[in-house]
Amino acid sequence: MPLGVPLLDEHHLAELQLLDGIDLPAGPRASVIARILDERESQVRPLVRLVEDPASLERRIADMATGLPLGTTLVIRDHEVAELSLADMTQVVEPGSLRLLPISIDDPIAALRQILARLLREGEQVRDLGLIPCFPGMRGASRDDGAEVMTRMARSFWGLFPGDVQSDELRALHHELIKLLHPERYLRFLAFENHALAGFDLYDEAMRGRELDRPPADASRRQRAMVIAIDGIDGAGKSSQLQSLADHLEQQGRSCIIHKIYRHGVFHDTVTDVTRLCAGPSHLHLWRLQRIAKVFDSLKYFFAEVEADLDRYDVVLFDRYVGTHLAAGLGRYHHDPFARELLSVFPPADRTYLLDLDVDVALDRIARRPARTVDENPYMLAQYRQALLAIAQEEGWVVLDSQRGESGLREIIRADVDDFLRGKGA
Amino acid sequence: MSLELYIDPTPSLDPGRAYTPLFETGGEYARALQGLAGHDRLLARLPVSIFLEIHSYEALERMRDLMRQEPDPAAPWWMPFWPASLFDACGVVSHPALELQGLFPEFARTTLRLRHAQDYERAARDWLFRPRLSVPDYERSVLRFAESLGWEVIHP
Repeated sequence: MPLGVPLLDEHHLAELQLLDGIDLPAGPRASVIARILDERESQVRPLVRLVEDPASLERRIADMATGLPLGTTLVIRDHEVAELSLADMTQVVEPGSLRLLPISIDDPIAALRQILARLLREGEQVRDLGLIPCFPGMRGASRDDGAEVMTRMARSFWGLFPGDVQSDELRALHHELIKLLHPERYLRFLAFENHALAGFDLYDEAMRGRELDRPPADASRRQRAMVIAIDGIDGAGKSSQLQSLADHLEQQGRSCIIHKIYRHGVFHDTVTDVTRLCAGPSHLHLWRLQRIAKVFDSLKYFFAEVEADLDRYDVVLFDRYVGTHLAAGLGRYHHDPFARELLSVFPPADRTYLLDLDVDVALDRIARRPARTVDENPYMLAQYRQALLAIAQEEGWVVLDSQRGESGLREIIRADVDDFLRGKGA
Repeated sequence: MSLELYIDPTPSLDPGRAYTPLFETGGEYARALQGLAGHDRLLARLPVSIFLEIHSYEALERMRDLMRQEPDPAAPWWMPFWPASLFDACGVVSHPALELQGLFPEFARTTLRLRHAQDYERAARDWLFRPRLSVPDYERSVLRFAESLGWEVIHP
């Protein structure tokens, strides 16, 4: 299951050019991006770097676009922005120039309808020009003017519509326009937009090289404890197996402790309130926050409760572990909002057992509990289950059928742990 | 219950002032920040917005926590930064601070203490992860909040 897709293509490189006035995000891949830009510069054409800051460039474009007849394009080249009609554009051969198609935001739905009709009339010659539709002013004025910032989406998603402000109709028309002008990147655009609406800046993440390798592990940690984790969806029977395993290990004279990295209390109540805010059609950008809050709470718990125990006990047992956070991100967002990085301080588990359980059975077991969470429904549980199975395969976990029964599972887990410890000479 | 909020990057500069910290030295939040501090390669992969979001959420959670503990009305709750202005100061356009702010309890009185640039920078080192914080942008933003929400402002 992909944790993100490298999304830099010709358009993004062009957009990077546009954003050249701001710093690339600090990070190990910034130099790679700079090299890519330099290579393009020498191979394709002399790129003109716009050195002004993006905000003033946007204002300039917005000023120019005000009152332009619909269908006028703006060509950015050699430190200048030129106005050209659609017809003129077909005469201009400037592969390096950035060709913007500004669309009025006064009545964007009407403007989009008109421009779509016109592009269909003009034919492929115009549609193949590589025009990039943009909506100058859509984000609102600079905050220096005291104006409200309209969008809640990251700068790199220039041209996408903030979900809280714009209508589905407008977004659908915009999708049509992208499909017409750039059919090859239509699906990618939708992926960007979906993630952007949920608060994920894939563009920024791609530039940071998140997809290229795993986060750096803490190589300096030397701990006494063996780490064993039991994972699985709600109702899989993790707690009883953990307690049973702890009893078994203690009978062997090994000191044990069980930790739960998903906490209840004020944290859980607060993050649940945040989740309720984004569970509807608006405030979608809060989805990322509620996941990051959960990840960070586990991080707080690690430094407050777990870290010292790694040197204090022979075995530290976890009721859910890092994989649960990864599965929650993948299951809900098809994306990991930085859990891999933030939780890389947790030591890799020596053994992880996934108690796999059919969703219907899990729901039946959960129904006997007094309270249900928002995720305890067939769809989300199935998503989490699939994500856990995918991670288990990737990470080499021991996958066990939770319906084997408590005693059957207990014997398998105990025997496997004993084998593992013997192999370790422990 | 009448709650009071005190926003000051470095309240230690006014030793006589009583306050209840939303961010505590030695608390879980501070310990997690200290724990991450040595992981430079890891931190380089994380956008600043992550830490601003964590900080903003932490403020809300601590408020909820204190609400359950019979708050002392004589000691206003202290936080170093107004979250939404932190995002403004770091140039982060897309953020959840306004929604989180909407979940804050109602404060009968809020006092904003402005400080010198180095005091903000020190507070950012203590309570955030080395963000490139523009102090002028922060002050511009927080003063707008102060004006619109009717806060008392104390100048340096």
